Amino acid sequence: MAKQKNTPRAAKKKPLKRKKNVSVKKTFKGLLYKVTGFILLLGLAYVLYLDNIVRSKFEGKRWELPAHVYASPVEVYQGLALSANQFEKLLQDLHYQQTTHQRLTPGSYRRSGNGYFLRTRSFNFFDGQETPKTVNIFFHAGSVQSIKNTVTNTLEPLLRFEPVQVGSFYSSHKEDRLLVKFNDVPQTLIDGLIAVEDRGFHQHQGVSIKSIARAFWVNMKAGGVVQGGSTLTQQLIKNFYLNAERSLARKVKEALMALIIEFHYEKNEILEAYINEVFLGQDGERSINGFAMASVFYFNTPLHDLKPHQVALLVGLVKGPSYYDPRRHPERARKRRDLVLDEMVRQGVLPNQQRQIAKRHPLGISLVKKISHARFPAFLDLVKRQLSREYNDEDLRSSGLNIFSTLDYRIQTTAEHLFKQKLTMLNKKHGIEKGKLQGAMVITRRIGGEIVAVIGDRNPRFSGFNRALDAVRPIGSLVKPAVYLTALSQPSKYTLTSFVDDTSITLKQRSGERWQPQNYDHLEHGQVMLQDALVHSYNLSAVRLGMALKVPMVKRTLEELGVRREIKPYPSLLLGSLSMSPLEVAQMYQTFAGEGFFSHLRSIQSVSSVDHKALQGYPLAVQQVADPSAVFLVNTALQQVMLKGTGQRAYQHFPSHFKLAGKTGTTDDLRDSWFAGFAGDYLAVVWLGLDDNKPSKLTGSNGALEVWSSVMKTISKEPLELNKPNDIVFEWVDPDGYRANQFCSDAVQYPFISGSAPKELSPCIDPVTRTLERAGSWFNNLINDH
Amino acid sequence: MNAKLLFPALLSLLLSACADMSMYHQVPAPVGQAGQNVYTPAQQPSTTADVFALEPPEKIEPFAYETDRLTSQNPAVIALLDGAQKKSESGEYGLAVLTLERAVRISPSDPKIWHALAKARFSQSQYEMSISLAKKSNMLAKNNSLLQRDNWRLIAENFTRLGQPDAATRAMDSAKKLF
Repeated sequence: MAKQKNTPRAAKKKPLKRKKNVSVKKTFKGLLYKVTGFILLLGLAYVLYLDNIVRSKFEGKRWELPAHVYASPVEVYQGLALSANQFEKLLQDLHYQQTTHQRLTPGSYRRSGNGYFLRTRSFNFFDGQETPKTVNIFFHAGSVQSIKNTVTNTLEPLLRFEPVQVGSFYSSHKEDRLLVKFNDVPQTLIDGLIAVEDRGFHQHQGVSIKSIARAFWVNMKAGGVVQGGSTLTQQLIKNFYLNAERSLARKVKEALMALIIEFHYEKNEILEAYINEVFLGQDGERSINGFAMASVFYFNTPLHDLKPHQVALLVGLVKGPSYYDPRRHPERARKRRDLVLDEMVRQGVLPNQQRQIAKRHPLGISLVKKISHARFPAFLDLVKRQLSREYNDEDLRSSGLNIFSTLDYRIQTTAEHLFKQKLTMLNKKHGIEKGKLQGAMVITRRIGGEIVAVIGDRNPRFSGFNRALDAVRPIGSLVKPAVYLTALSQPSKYTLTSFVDDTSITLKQRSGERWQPQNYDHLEHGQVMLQDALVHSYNLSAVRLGMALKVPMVKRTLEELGVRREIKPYPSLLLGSLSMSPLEVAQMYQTFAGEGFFSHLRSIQSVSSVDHKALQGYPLAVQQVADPSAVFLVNTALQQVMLKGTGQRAYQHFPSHFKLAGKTGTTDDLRDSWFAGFAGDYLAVVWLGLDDNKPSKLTGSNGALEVWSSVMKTISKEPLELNKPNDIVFEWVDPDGYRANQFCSDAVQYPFISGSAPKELSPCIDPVTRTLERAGSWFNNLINDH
Repeated sequence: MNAKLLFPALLSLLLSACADMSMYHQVPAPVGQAGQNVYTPAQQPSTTADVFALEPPEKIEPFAYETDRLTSQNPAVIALLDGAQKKSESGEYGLAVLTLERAVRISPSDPKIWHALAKARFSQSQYEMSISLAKKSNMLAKNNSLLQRDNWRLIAENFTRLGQPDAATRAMDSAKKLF
């Protein structure tokens, strides 16, 4: 408006000076009006344009929030097999701090012998919030004896700890922040920030002439830029809307936008945005933004739990997160913190007494700062692929989702350590070119199919080709349990003691070529019991059995077990020409481990939104896909594989009562070394081989099984107790397949589906017993018939 | 063709020719799509991915069972079963299922938890899933004929809802044998 008044006045002066040409004067005057009008219009348009920018971003989705992935939380309860020392390791994983203070803060503990006194942290889970609890936990004989809440003086049935964060999915700029609402920000932080950064915050309208003048004066005196005149509002504008360019034009734009934002929004809203926006540190590629994230990054504590000395340190960081980095420059950071405390006292927002206490505190920076986003790359890759069905990549990286995964932090880290160690050892022992032996491992809970660990590289932390998901290799003898399940599902034709022919066979392939499979030992074993054929992984009997069953039937069994890949029903399928990834093999064996019930392998338990609202759950689902009785027979044979067959090396590590079930797999020319097997609690699949598909010189037994045993003996706590279906009976059978009894020297007990056991009696049974046996079976039949 | 482009073009041709020889270029594992198309909840709420924002299922009268048989020995499991029960009562079946899963993690072979899961699925009108879970519970409930009976009754009820009266009758017969 001022310009409009000035312009005509300026125009009026002209006739006084020059009276030469009236028409020129008129033209000039008109032009001036037009130009002024045009400039004004342009200015107005620019202000409107800025207004639009300010409002649309401030009212829209302000920040791209990365998704955070959490491990499965640890639940501690009475009777849990966990020693006092193992519990301390758990507390260390969760970065609980040991203290001698009488009063416990969340995330701290005291230990005395087998007892712990601790205060848990709060955490927003998918199904609600866990509030902090102060408890006494006692351990006895390697397990949890009691958990007593010291506030309510009652026993806690179970204690769910906050989960370890195992990774994040960031947008391209990799800003990490946790949002905080204004009402949840501690008052000391607000006071400190205003005292140090912008004393006149509540008085100015976005720009403070006083501050600019003071900065100008200070800078003049110093002969350079030592103080900025920016208000908090201007700082917000600079960080939130503009780039780092330093020019007069940008400064004007910043000031205009500051005025606009102050015009539209309340001071508290602006301050809240500032508190969430401000850059406060760098962790590799990840930038730490906002005070809530900085609080976790520097102190491993939620913002609302910070003490004045910690608040002062964060406030001090605003001036230069890198220069005052408390981890790299602790002394500089301490001085800055103390300066902030002094300023807060001077402004009257902190009592002097509190300043004295605060200054006595050490910096108290948490030792851990890394919440690396690529800590478990193979597992995170799997999570991401599973999530990609519901979320596009952008939403995944910017919506602030909380992803509760199935990863077991302790098992994953333990498995990684042992896996790496074993691979290096095998690489050396078998004379493989250094660093060439590759591998992958998948570990799941035997019941329910939750994936607890995934390793995709010999160096498990390396984020490259994920072999657990993408190394698709022939499975060799791992296919055989499917062949035998097909047979044993027909109890009238096949039992574990049926004889199969292990002699040479020649088959004509579709291409016209002749295929003549061989046993691993290049021998023929003649008539062998079905169980022995599987235990010793004979190829000839497997092919002959499969051909008798018809290959498409075996294909169907594989599909029922959970193989979703295209299966070509060629005879070579019977020896595992089918290529699968370790994850797919785990899915297939999960059905054996689940005793005929199929469960999807899952890497995610649930997903909640940024404000902790439940979005998706990935619940346990089961489907009976195979006859549990036939699966029981196969599983008992797989237990024999471990006791007497190709898997017996495992018992060099395990006590025999573990009753492990498993199967080795080796492919032509020793290119792939596989092992898949399970104990009572976990199932694991290991693949070893070379990326260029050249022979690795490892069999399933001397390669993958070594790795499997090393990991499983450490993580597994439960022997495998198979559930015997009601129609399974155990009978003694002699080596020739005749029914015997416990007094026959060579007889062995085998399970049979009711009615399928051999009826003909063994010659080892004497005539008297023979008569009694017959009478017994007649009597039994009589009872069963009625 | 520009000479600068020729080399990469030839290289990519060469690489694509090698595709079958290298393990890096094979079809990756079908992650999580085994069985039904489980990760599209909007289309298939009855399988692995459940959406909690779904409309609550039609009101179903509570299925009769004696709660004492559902009480596990483990206090943690009891607490979780109680929690699941409360969530079910307020219609939050999805959360109830996840609470029961916590119990499965603690005590995976406890047939009572599987029975409770089967009941939660029944309440969600997921009858086929409920049948599978009840069968799993039965497999684990070796020496608990009362629980087996409850499972068969639940299976029968599920078959009735699925419009399969013959299967329901057979399941009920199995239940009666256990009386």
